[in-house]
Formats: sequence, C-alpha cells, structure tokens
Amino acid sequence: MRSQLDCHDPRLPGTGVFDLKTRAALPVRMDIMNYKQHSTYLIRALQGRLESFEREYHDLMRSAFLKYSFQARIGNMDGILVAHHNTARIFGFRYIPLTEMDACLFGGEDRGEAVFEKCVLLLEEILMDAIGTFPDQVRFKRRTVAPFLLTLYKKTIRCLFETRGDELDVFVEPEDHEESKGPRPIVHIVVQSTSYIDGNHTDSESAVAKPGACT
Amino acid sequence: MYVRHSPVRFHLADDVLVLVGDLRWSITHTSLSQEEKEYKLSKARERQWRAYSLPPGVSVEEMEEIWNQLDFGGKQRRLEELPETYSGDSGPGSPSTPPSSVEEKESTFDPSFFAPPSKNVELLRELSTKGKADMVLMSEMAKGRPKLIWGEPEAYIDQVESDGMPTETEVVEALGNRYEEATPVD
Repeated sequence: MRSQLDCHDPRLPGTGVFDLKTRAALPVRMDIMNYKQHSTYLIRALQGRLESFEREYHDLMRSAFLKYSFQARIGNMDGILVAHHNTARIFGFRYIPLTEMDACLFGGEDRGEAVFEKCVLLLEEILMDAIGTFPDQVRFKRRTVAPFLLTLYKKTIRCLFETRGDELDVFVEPEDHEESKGPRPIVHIVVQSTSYIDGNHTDSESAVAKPGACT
Repeated sequence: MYVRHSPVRFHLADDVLVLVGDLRWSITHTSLSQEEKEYKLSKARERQWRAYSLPPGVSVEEMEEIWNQLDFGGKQRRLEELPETYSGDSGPGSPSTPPSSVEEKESTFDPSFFAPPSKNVELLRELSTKGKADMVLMSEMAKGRPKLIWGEPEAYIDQVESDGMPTETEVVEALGNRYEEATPVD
C-alpha cells in the first residue's frame, strides 16, 4: 500500500504530514455533467439542509471520511485540509485531524486504528483468496520488504464488492477471457464476520466502542 | 494473525475461518451455477450503478456529442498542443509518435449512462440558478473595495531544533525512502 504525501507543517503533531482535498459542493457532485450551471451554487450559511457548511460536512462524514481516514493512516498523516468549492469559487478551508474523523465515524477518537487494522487484515485475506481462484491468471512474487505486497504481472482479475446485511459478497472474474471458451468464469465469495467481547458474541458497534476490545 | 499475542491461523476444507483477536470471519466460495452467479453479479452491478442526469435542454443524442468532447483536466488538449515530435515517454529526439486526437478516439458513449434528472437534482439546479444572480450582485458590491486581509500567516519554520523534533526535510526524506521501498517495481 502507498499513500501520496501532499503537505507538511512542523506545527502539527506526529509526522506533521497532511493531505490536501478539494471538495466540490453538493450539486456539482450530484449532477456532474451539469457542473457549469452549478458553478454558481453558493454556500451561504454555517447550518442548514442546503447551501450550508453543515450539509457539506454531513456528506463528508457519510461518504468520504472512511476513505480519507484510511488514506491518512496509510500515509501516517495527521489529517486533511479540505477546500470547499463550486469549481468557480473557493468557499473556505477546513482542517480535519484524523482524531476528528475517527470520532465522527466510530464515536471516539481512539477507535479508528483498530478498525483500520482489522479491515486491512480482512482485505488481505480476501485478496489472497481471490488471487487463488484463478491461479493461471495472476503471477506474483513476494517481496522481502513487505510480506503481503504483491507485484502483479500482465494478467488481471476484477473484483466487485457488495455488502448486503451481515455478509460481504465478492465476485471475482478474470479480466482477459476468450469468448470462444464459453462464458466468463465467475467465483462468488461470501465473507461473514462476527465480533466478540470477552468470548461473548456481540455486535460490531459494541466491539468497536469497547476500549481495547479489538486489539 | 494473532489471538492474545499468539499466532493463529487455520483452514477448514474450502472455507477459511480465521480467528483474530475478538473478530472472527469466514471466507466461503458458493457452489452456485454459472447462471446463478451471472444473475447475482448483474444485480449487484445494477445496484451500484448511478446514471448521470441529463443537463437541461440536452437530449440523449446531443449528449453523445458533448460526451465525446469532454476533456476533464485538459489532458486531451495538452496532448494536442504538444509539438509533433513528441514521442511519449521515449524523450525528445526519438522517433515521432503523434498523440491520438479527439477524432481518432473511440467513443465510449452509452445512452444508458443517462437518465432524466430527479426532483432533488431539479431543486439543486434551481438553487444554482438563484446563486448566479447573487454572485453577480456580490461582485458588483465588491467592486472598487480594497482587499481585506484578516490576518497575517505565521512565519514558516522548517528547522525545529529546540525540542529535538526532526526537521521537515528530514521527515519528508524519511517518509519518501520508506514509500519508495514499498513501491511495486517491474
């Protein structure tokens, strides 16, 4: 894994590295083919359902903070600096530290690290399994610097992930396939997970909320 | 994989059941027929698909022309502005390989990419239209006014020596080396 490092300021804690994000306003995101018309959409207020920083922040939490926080963790960053704009005008900048994103996502500043570690572990397992489904499609070698870093050559598999209820469906297909050989083969992988606290089954929210439970 | 700091990993037939800390998971391959898997995959794709809204006053036929002229980021324009001797990554002076032009590019337009705008999108378009009048008014009001600076930035200090912290240069170099090591090669 790698994460591009955009900026650095020695006044920030830790490494002092942070990421720079441009964030288009709501209508530009929702109606991208009509972005020119939306270049006059205004953020007029701090709060409100529309035309407000509150709405922009709400959407950030729901659709962007998880990926931003993962990216920041991969790059050992302190946070992100978001520039809100409508493609023609910048409305303002906001610095969001990783701890704030964790609090918004998981209800506590100290909970994101465990979630990140578990997600990466599970993703590694799924990807290793997916690679094994079409061994003639993928050639890889292990590097000594990072045991799970794979260098893929020439051929590719494609995966579609979808969470439904408590299950994660993964559909794996070879990217290259000759139609003369019949339909493109598909492997359907189902991933299920269960959380425990002190050996007792619990829901994932409680597991994440319990200090030290996911260590 | 560890459970209470002891390495653990075990497989059960075709299933993989892994116990890590207080999270258990299973990875299972279903035995559905090819037709059933194709159906499930197509339904999953449908659920993830989000059609673009057609811009106001633009038909699907007109949209194809707009689509083929899209050049987000100006990549195509920059390619066309390059001198004819440009040869991609092979450097100046090597045999010329003209960049592909808009005309040569195969159209990727698909009418199913587009749908009429929803009520929410229509509402956002109304707000953007209202915003235009206000933006004009604001720029009229701002004309001739001196630039207002609310604060001066703090002096940027690269060298932090007093508390023994590494300097910016040292941090960036250290991180850069680490990520170069982790970057896939070949």
